[in-house]
Amino acid sequence: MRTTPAEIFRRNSELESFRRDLTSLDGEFDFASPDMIALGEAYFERHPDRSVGRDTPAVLLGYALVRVCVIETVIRDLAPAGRRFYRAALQDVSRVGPIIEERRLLESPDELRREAEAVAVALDAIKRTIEEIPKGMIRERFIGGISNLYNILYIVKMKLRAE
Amino acid sequence: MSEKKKVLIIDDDPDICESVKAVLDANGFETEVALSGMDGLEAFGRIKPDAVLCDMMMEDVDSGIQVAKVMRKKRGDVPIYLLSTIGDATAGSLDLGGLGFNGVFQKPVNFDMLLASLKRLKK
Repeated sequence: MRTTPAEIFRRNSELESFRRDLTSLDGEFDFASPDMIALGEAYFERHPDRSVGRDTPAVLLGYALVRVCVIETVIRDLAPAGRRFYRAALQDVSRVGPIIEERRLLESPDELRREAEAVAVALDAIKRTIEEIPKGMIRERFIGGISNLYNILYIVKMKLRAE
Repeated sequence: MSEKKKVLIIDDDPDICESVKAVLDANGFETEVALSGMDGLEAFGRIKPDAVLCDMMMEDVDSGIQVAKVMRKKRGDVPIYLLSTIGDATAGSLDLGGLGFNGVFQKPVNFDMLLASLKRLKK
């Protein structure tokens, strides 16, 4: 049986140790809706939400955990250069422009566009899985988490169009 | 004086603010971000935006509604759009106009639609 994101979070409540352990799996973990719910339950056990005076750092941790899992899933089938690019860019929008400029020197625009499309397809598949999660705060963290990755992918595509 | 339309983005997630700002800036808008409802209200008075994009859940789960109500009282003519994870069904059951919003953009945001809406706004 493979390690799940929930198990990793229960061992590592800090974002960076969670990221390190999850990234070391190279995408070889299960991320179906029960796995997402299990991660959400583990997270909310540690960081219960409240309607007034919310704990913003805890909320942001929730989004960040989701983003780590989604990024590792969507880059799983990319070539090494693409994995490095999307792992960096999807975490930090300021990295998008500089890395695209570097990659343009080595790879064709068509290759880069095909790669972006592959990421978009993988992201859509994860979004459909998220939509299987019942309405509630677990689903909210997943939607909030994946949203920023869509935003950054939009920027990637915008920059690839601008030649 | 700048001819660019000014858009105020209010969201407690700095990553969302940065990425939405990057898209709008690249499309010819002038943007300002605020990471809380309180900061959003301060920026609203200071920069006098042409439009506001406001998250729902920030300090409180209904911060977006509280912020929109205050902005409406100050300037009734500014378009205020909710950026939300609430889903179409829930959004459809809300009286968005009564809550002070001109519309809702569900996260993940469809930027083609958002940009088209913002470009139609008068300066």
